[in-house]
Amino acid sequence: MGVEQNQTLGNGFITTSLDKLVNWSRAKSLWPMTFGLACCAIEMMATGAARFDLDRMGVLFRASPRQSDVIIIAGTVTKKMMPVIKTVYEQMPEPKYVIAMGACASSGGVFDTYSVVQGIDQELPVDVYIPGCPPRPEGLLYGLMKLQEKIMQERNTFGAAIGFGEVVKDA
Amino acid sequence: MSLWRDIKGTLQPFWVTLCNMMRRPVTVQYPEQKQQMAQRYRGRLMLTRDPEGHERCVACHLCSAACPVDCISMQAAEGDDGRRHAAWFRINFTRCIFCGLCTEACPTLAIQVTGEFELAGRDPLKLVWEKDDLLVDHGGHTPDYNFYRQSGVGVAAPRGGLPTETAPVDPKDLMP
Repeated sequence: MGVEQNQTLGNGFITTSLDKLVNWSRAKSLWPMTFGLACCAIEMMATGAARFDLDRMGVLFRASPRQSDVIIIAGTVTKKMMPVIKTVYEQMPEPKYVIAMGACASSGGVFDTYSVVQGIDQELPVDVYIPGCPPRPEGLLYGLMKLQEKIMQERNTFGAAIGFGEVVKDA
Repeated sequence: MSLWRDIKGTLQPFWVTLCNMMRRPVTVQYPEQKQQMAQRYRGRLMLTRDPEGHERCVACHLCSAACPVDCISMQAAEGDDGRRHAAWFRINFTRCIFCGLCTEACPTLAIQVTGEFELAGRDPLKLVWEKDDLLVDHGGHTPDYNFYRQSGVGVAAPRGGLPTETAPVDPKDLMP
């Protein structure tokens, strides 16, 4: 089992080049799920609008989790909303990423109460944390660029895409 | 009459599109072109120094008391000259809401806001900033202010060490 888990196509020139191609195509077409929970969603909409324009980074909001690559948790996550978010997250196809936008999604923020999830990372594997209450649109853009950097560092993405081994998500 | 309205309704959207095509785009090309933040924009926090290069923070805990989300924590310590400073000072930026109430509470103008907002990271523990990360080598928005020049130095000698003073009472000592 341990051998199978570490199975990759190797670090040859051709495989790493193909990995880079896959990573590049994934990083430059991050499609987030249209999913706003609170005031951070207003800032997320502002980021998508003309002034900051997420489209020029290849980030197009999709209305269906089946077409999405990344879910931006924008706002306060109450415990009542958590099952919904988990359902939406599980409906997204692999590879999928999570961005915790704002203080509430990162750690609970001001809402240190019984009804609020103290950070979305208690339930979902978060890739990028964006502090701010809410973050500036540029802050969200910066977080998306951090996620693109992370995607570009993944290994064996081509191998995983043709069903050989798993993606190595180190560094 | 209705026909004329329909023609107008068909052509007017094209006219609006044409007008907007001629306008200059409003997009800020963010990573290359950065906006100048407003003078009083509240970004991340910093700990400033007085003009002589000493830390301004006297670890009075007023900022952590004013903080609505309790993201500031510190431990007070006292130097040989009786001057207080923070032994460690920690701000959890994942919880910070950048309200600036700590800067308003600070009596020595030690904690101040910067215009920086690019804080996003992949490790939440790296967003917990220690004193070394927060300290800067300048006076921030008030470069000439020195708290001790305004208020006077407190006790230079240890308390009770001057000839006219009696030794301080040790409250943990049970001896009479």
